[in-house]
Amino acid sequence: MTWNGRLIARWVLAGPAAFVLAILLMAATPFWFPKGASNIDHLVFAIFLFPAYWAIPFTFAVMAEKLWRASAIFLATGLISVLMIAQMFNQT
Amino acid sequence: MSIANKAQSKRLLAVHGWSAVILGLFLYVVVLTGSVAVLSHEIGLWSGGGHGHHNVLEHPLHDRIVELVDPLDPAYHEEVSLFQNAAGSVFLFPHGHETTDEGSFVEKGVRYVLDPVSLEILQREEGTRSDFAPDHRSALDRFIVDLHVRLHAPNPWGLFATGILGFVMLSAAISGIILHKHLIKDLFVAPRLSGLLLNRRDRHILAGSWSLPFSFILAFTGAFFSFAGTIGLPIVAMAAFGGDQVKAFEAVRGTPAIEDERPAPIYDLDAMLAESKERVGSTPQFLTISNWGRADAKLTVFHGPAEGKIQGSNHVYNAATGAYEGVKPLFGEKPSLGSAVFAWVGPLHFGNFAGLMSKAIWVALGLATCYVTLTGLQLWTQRRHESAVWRSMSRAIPIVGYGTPLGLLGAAFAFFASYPGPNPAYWTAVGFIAASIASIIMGLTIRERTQLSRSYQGVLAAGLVLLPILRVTLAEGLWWPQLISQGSVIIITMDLLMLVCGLGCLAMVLGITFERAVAPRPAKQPLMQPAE
Amino acid sequence: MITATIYICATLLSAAAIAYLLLTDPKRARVFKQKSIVSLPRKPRLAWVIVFSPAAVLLVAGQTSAFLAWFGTMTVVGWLMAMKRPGAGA
Repeated sequence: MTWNGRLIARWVLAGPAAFVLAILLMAATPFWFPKGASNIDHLVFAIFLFPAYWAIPFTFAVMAEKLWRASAIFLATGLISVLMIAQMFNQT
Repeated sequence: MSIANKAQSKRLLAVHGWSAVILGLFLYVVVLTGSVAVLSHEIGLWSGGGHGHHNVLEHPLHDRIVELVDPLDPAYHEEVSLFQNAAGSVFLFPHGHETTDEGSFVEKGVRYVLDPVSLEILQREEGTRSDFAPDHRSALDRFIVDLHVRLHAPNPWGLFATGILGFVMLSAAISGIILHKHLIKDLFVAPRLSGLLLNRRDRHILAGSWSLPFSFILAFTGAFFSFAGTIGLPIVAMAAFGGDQVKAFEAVRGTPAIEDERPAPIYDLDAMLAESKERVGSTPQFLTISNWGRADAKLTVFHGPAEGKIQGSNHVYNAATGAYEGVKPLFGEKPSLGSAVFAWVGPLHFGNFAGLMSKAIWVALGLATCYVTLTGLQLWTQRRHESAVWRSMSRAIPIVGYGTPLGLLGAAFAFFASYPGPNPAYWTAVGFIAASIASIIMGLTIRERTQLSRSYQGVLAAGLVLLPILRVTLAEGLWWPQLISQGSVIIITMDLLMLVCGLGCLAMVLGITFERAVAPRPAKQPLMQPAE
Repeated sequence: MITATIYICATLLSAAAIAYLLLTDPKRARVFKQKSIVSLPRKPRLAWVIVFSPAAVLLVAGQTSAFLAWFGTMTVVGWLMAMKRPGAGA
């Protein structure tokens, strides 16, 4: 990969990719987070954790030495989130 | 020990620095207005002049509320809320929850603005919350809060902007922790005077290190507040409720399982409020009645935090029978982890859990964060001092640094000058813009930096000292003897705060400062060759 | 009143421990070529425990309001104390 290619890849990962991943993680949270005594924890924490869902991928993308590995982790996490969300459409 | 190698540190520094260069001054405006907005309730009370001290929830109101709500469209009986703002205006808002064609969650109903003593209708509007005109008496504190929350940009763009700024602050805090290898060792090293660059670095790092925990907390909670309604609720609604935001909102808030649509008149509200006051030991702050006119109507009364606690409590009554049903958590019908965690978010961000004591601390925390932002920008531009472009850009730091408080001062002046008139909200905004433009002109015309700073400080000093006088003379506010007889300590405290801040600015003009400044070194002169 | 009293006591205790850390900090002494007027034993770990001890006490006692107020105050007070150069005036 050229130096410019690495820079572009890092910008994409730390920029739009981190934001989109944060949204996917937030959307997927209601499907795995425990519902709690009042049946609302999975909804509240989905929204509450959004800043963390962005900050962790963003920092990881900036610090990552191996961009191919960072990309693979982003893709895998995003895919798992999409599969969880797709459950909703299967259930309805 | 550092967790980042050289290349990683370089990238982190680039992110830390460039995000601050591009967005740091906007972040400063948000944080400074946030620090002032911590006192928005006190500012509302103070700018109202002392006339709004009559607490509507301590007086009979059942008959009047029934008279106003009963004849309305049943769609507006879904929820009736009553609250009184700091300026004393009473808002009664019977409304229903709907989803717009675009899928946004809205509250639609009739909003009454009532006189706090006679409960006479001062204003009546029908529509959604965003349609309603602002309360004239509260124009100044609303202006400051809206500037902080959404930079006065239309929803959702303003909230997106402040949310992104929250992310910038969060990333700056995280990158700052990773970059600063000797965080603990440098905690007690005062800024050195051996050079301007070293001094700027030390000032930024010292302030940044000590304020790290709260920078992180304020950034996280601020970003949460900005994104919760604009992105959070729609996304969760789409994922878990097929896009129905009303359903999502009601699931989170908690709706009782048992419905009973049989008509039933509302029980004596005054009796229920009196019972709540005796039970909790404090006057309620606001109330909501759900399912007005039905057998399953509920009255929820909100009380402020008890002594030693940080969150208030919601007490629920059966609004048809008057029976007390217990305490309702913030979310859901039963206490849960989600409700407990969320109950900390508000107090952590607003600092309003222990009256003026906690608010004063939170103002100081906000100002410390402003100091970190400005010193960081000063450090960045000082490092690039050899470049004429960066030297010019560094001028933006005092222009915005002093210009924002001057803008707020201009807003206050314009508010007091226009308040008895019909449109103080408009003139408050005009005052802010005019004062900001004047600050920019000053910044561009006064070339010498120390003279520029002293000029800004002088104008601030004069303006702050004049404010209490304007409050009394222009806006028909009460003077101290009348306020003392009413027990309105807060307004006197605010007047004194303005005077102390004004005197503080005057001290800066006279050169009396907390820290010694290092004189800037002139730009490099060309080497003089000795005559042959 | 109780909250305010507890908060003030906690703040004073932690501020005293921070003052001790300031007076005995080796980097601060080295940078400002400081010679102590009073020689104090250097026990930084104990001092940090004292700085943070009000946190545990306040949380266990359920005084969350005083805890938050104390936490916020210490970050500002610690910074302002550290800002003053040793032996310097304004």
